[in-house]
Parts: sequence; structure tokens; C-alpha cells
Amino acid sequence: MISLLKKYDGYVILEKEETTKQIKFYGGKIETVKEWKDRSMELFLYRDGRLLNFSIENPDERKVKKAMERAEKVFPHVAPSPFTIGTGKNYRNTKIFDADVLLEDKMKERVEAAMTAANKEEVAGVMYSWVEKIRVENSLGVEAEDKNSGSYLSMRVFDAKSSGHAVSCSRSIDAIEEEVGAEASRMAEMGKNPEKVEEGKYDIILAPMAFADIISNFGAFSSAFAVDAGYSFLREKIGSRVCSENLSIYDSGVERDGIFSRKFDDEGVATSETPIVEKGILKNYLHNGTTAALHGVRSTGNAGIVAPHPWNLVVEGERRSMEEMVEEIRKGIIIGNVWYTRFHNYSTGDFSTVARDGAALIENGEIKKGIKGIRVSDNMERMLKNLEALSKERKQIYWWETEYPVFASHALIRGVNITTA
Amino acid sequence: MDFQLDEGLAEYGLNICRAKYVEIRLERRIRNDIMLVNGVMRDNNVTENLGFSIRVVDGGMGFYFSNIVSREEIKRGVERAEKMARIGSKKVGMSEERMEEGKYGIKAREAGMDEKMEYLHAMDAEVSDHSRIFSYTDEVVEKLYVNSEGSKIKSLIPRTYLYYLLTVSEEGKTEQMNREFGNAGGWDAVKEWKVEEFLRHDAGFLSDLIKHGEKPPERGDVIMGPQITGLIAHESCGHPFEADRILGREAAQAGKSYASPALLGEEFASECVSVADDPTIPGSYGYYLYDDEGIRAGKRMLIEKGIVREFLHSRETAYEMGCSSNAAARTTYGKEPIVRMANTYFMPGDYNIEEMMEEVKEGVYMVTFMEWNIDDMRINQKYVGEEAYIIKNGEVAGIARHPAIEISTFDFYRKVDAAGKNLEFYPATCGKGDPMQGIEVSTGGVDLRLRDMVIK
Repeated sequence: MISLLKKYDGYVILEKEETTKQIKFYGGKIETVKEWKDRSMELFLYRDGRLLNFSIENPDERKVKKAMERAEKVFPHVAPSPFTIGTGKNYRNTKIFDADVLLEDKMKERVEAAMTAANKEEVAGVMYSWVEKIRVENSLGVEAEDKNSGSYLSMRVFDAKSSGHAVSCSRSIDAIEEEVGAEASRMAEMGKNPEKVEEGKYDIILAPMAFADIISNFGAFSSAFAVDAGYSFLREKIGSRVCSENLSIYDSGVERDGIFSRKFDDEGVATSETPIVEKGILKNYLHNGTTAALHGVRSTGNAGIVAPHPWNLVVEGERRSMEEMVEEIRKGIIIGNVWYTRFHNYSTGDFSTVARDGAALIENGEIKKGIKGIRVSDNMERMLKNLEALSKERKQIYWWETEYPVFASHALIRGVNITTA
Repeated sequence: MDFQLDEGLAEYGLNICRAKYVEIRLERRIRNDIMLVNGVMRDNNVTENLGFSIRVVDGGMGFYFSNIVSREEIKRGVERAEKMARIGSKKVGMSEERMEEGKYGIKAREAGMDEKMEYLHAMDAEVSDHSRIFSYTDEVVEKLYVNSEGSKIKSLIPRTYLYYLLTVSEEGKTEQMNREFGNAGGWDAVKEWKVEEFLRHDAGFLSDLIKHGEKPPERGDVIMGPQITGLIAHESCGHPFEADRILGREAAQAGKSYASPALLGEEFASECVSVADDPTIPGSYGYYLYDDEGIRAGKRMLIEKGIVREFLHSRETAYEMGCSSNAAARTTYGKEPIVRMANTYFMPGDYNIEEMMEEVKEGVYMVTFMEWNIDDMRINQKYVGEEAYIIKNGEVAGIARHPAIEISTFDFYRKVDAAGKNLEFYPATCGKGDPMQGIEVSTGGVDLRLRDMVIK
């Protein structure tokens, strides 16, 4: 195949073979079990300043040749594109691999144990497990292989007009905790029998599920492609303060138990740890080879060949216990989970997000009562500049609403604008 | 039309399956995505998908997908789906329906790459003074569906779609506008979108908003245009009327619903409000004639003159609720069929926009939105206007800067006092399902007027 590709100025082949399983449950019972078998190839061809990209399923030499024939016909008609393959072969592979994640009996046992731990009638959720083999080859002579496993259990419970949601994520099935059921129930109990609350400025504590959603969005904004395309408020802010000095955010493709950890990115560049924000100062955008060349820096090993993206996001900063955080709030709100984070203007960061699970009012250092119908309506940069502390524990969060896994804590943020319907 | 999928392979799967119910879907998709960022092409992708999925009901439900299309893999898929269906403890059933054999599709002209490039660069040139991104997609999807009750449906649907995000920066401030255009059909629909006119309008409006935008009144009447009301029909009527949400099947993902079977036949909205969902509108972005369980589609009346008439059903939810499917089961490539909307819209009323405004002493007219969201019971919703105007004494009196409406669904539907004649449809990609299934829909709306609203 390589000889066929020598006529191009540049190429990347990324092959993947993946098996994914899912158990879906609701009303306290398992309803559907699913399996996906996926063999695919991404083929990027670059010649005379022009780039074409083919997604091929169940690839073989005949299909690759067909794609190349199509490329020959189309190349003269496409507009020029920038394309640079990044370099960096310092592969680190300390991540966990566990082929047993796909054992259905174990998956079922984890789901049922968590439902028992939830101890509520109305329980819904999903458990996923996957194993993938990936192989990359490019025109700079890189050839590398990797294999990954991952699993997560996402459970939501309902009780007393409230809900709670918790997840457990790991690369190993034995680390999936049945405790998620009890954790979701505790969140639902915190927000039980909710009442309406006045809108205005509140000090808020975002629980890890909620904070992960904010940080996942921030991670997406740190992609150099998002910055260039008008999808980010981080444009021209490298070296500037974009968060509180109490917050650092980094991306890691090498996190031992990070469910999106990879040995190399889609171009074959070694993944690593990339500081995005250090003590509130924006240090780096996330780059692939092309965006790095356009910005005059080195790839950070975050390809997506079209758009770089985070692998696993990790937050660090000033640490306090949850109890200390609550004690320090005179008038505030704790929010268990959010969804529908939507931006009015990506380039300014004006946004709102809806509280979804377990929200409660805090008065004079005590959690008082469940509340409902609230939304955070603020500016993401302003809000993160007002972050005061993170809780001591940190948990990997990934579920349906959160695009990238985040190792998240509780976050105490002062003076956040809360609105209601 | 070029139907290529192998019926023999699908029939083989049906024949070897011993379960009570089995369905097999073969799917082929050819797609081209092109992205232009600030005038520079950053992606030109050609995707070819070919795969099959098998769903078995035998106690619980089992689902298997593979993109290795062979008899051996079909056999493995049937065996796996049969086994997986027996793991669940929840008893799954399917409503009794009339099975049909059918074949339909849309003939469409495919554009050459040079034609697409020329068009996209021409659109880009309209706003080359500003930051902008264009994302274009065309695709052709062929499906072959068979089930063990005798259904056999073949379809071939092409779709064409364009999205842009425009950022205008002046005086140290920025404003953004995004729009979507799309049809079931080929390249010939593109010229009818008149994208260049929207681009010119948006660039001019955003500049005016930066320079002349005013704080909206804190209270007043609100008229919302079809782009916003279409979204509201989709989010706060269509989604909560999806029966799988009502039953709790999506509770941990896309959420639940304020609706319950007790709502059927009840007065829910003011008399001038009717909401329908119709997959069969020719050329619409959410077009289909048979759903992904082989059921013939038709128009569904969700709310008729304020009264709740029907929910959206698959065969599974219809069985649970003791009714018939209304052909709302849809699936994207490689995923299970679940309850979805198609083209959901507020039906036209008697007013034109001048008549509506005439009766407004003070208020706003919201034409487009950027930010919006809604809670997972579909009650607490927010829409922020981007193109919006201040109304005083029946006339437009200025540009309103980001008027926001936060309102409960119940209040919204009761407060509507006038519906416009002007029905317009907007393409959208609706997200639901786990794994996420972004599916083509359109949101349709007319001008709606609501009295005495809090405006933020």
C-alpha cells in the first residue's frame, strides 16, 4: 500500500478496529443490550497544496485504490488547503489496558450492583465498554500501533421531584464503582422537594458533573481550530489571564486511567501533557501539525487532522474540603449537574447552562433546601476568573452530555448570575 | 434510482433467526463534507458507509451492528442479538401494525466538485471582510429494511445542507449570527436558498447592532418570528411528546417530559395554537415516507386548537401505551431506531406581521436566536434574540440588544394570543439517543405574539 501512496506530497493512514458494548436500563430494569463492530480507515492525501480526506469502512486494497482514483479526478477541482504533519515520537504508554471490559456478565453485574446501591425505584442509565486497536502510518515514516480499553457507568435516579446523576469511568472494568448508585441518590436527596428561588448573584458550588461540563467546553475552546474559526473566546489571549489564579487546566493523552488516553494522535504524534491554563494564565492552544504550523509552534499531539481536540482534561488548583467550601458561603447555590450549555457569542463567552440534577440553596454555611428552575446565565471567562477553590477529591467524569473526559472536582465560584423562568 | 443493497443478505438473516421478532437494516451512505474557514479550505472529506444492524426482541431487546458486510458476519450478528435480547429483565413488546412492502426515493442531481467549490467561494466572497466559517454537506442514504412480520422497505434519500457562522467585529465589540439551509434533494435546491442575501443582510445587521443596539424594554409584548417559534415547537412540544421520554427510556440522557398520557385530550394551549409533525412534506429536511420500523408515515397532529391530540410513537412505545405507532421511529447509521420528530411546526393563523405589530404599544420582535436552552422536563426554556427590534406604538423603533425570554412551557402556550400566516421551515440536526444520533429534521414556525412578558 505504501508504494501506491508515494506519489503524494503527504499522507496519513489511520486504521481502527473497535468493539463496543452497551447495557441500557430504565425503570430499574435492563432493557437493551447492544454491540457494535467497527473497522474503519481515515486516509488523508495531500498533493500540490491540495488536501482530500477519505473515510473508508472495512478497508482493503481495492477500496483504497478506489479512493485514490477518485482523488485523481477531484484534485484539480479543489481549493488549496494548509496541511502539515506534526512530528514527535516520544511515545509513552503507561495507560491501563483491560480486555475484560467487554465481558457481558461483568458489565451486567456492575449495573445491577449500582442499581441496588441506588436503592430508588426510578433508576435509568447506561453502561458502555469498548476495546480498540489503532494503527497509524504517515509520509514522514511513522508507523505505530496502540490498543485501548474503556468503560463507564452512568446512572440517574429520581425521587421526591428531584434527581441525581453520577458516573464511574475507568479503563478497567473492576474499577467501575457500584457506589455511583448511592452517589446519585445522595444528589437527588440534596435537591428533594425543590422550591423556586429568586434570580440574582450567588456564590455557587458546581459539583464535579457540573464543573466537568464547563471545563469540557473550555477544552473545546482551547483547540486552535476553534480559535481560528470564531468558536472561542480565547483568541489572542495566550499569556493573558483567562481564569482565576486558583485554577490550572491541562490536557493529558497519557493519563494512566483516562478513558480517552492514546499513545499517539491521529497524525502519529506522541500524546503528552499540555498545560492549557497555568494559575489562571492561558499558556497553550491544543494543536495538530497544521494548526501548529499556522500558529508558528510545535504540535501538542492533539490531532484530529482537521481540528485538534482534548484527550482528557485535568483541573488543579487551590484545594479545600467540601465542608469548608459550604461553610464559607453566606448566600449560595450548589448545583449537582448541568446540561444544554449554549453560547450567545462564542467569541465573547456569553452563555447559559441549565441546572439539571440536585440543586440546593446554601445559607450561612449550611445546605438548606432543594431548589428548581435555575440556570447559570453568565460569561465563561468572567465566571472562571471568579473561581476561588477546588475540592480535595477529583473524579473522572464522562457521559452523554460531556464531550471530553474531565478529572473534575467541586468548584467554588463567587458572584455568578443565576436566572429563572 | 440506483438501489444497490443486497436483499438476499437481509433475507438470509431473517431466515436463520429463531427469535420472536427480528429486523435487519442494510444501509449505504455516500457523503461529502467541505469546510471553508475564512476563505481557506480546511476539510474536504468523502465518506462511504456500508453496514447492517439487527434488532431482536425476545424478552428484552438485543441490537448488533457491523460494517463488515458478509453472510458470516450476518450469522454472527443474529446469534449475538438473540443472546443479548435475553439478558434484559424488562419485557419488551411491539405494537401490532400493518406490514407493507414499499420502495421510494428522490431523484437528485449531484454537483461536481468544481461547481461546489465555485459556489462556496462565491458565498465566502460576500462576507470576506469578516470572520466566517462555512460547512457544506451532501449525502445519499440508501436503506433496505426487512422484518420477520413481512415488512420490506427500500429508500434512497439525498440531502444537501449548508451552515455558516459569521462574526462581525467593530468598535472593539463582536456579534455573531449562524444559519442553516437544507433540503431532502440534490444540488438544485441550493440556488433557492438565496444564501448570499442572508449573508449580506446578516453582515449589515450585526454591524448595526454593534453601533445602534439598545436595551430592550423590561416588560412588554413579544412577537417571535418563525425561526424562533419553529425551535420552540421542536423543543417544548415535539420533544416532550416523544413517548419514549414520557416512559422514562431516555431519562439518563435526553431527559424526561412534563407530558403524561393524562394530558391527551386536555386543553394545553390557547385556541390559536396548533402544532403538527409531518415527515411527508416533499423536499423537507426531515422527509420520509416509511419510518425505520417499516410503518407508513403521515401527518401527526400534536396540538389542535389548543387541545393535545397525540404523542410520537415507535412500535415499542405504542405497545407500552396500548396504541398504534404513528411512524416516528427513526435511526441514523448503525444505531437503534428510537422515537424522533421529522418536520415539526406551528400551523398558520390569521395574522400578518403588520396586524400583529399594530396592536403592540411597547415590546420586541425577535427574528433570530443564538443562545437557547431548556430543562430536561421541557418546562423551563430560554431564547435570546440576535436579530431583534424594539416595537413602540405599533412600529419598529430601533434594534434591541439581545432580548432574552425565560418562560415556562405552560405559560408560553397559554400566552400566545395571535398566530401569523407566514409558515417557514428551517433545517436542523436534532440530537437524541445514546450513542448520540444527530438526525435531520426541520423546525417550522409562524409569527407568534405573547402579551405582557418579562423581557431580560
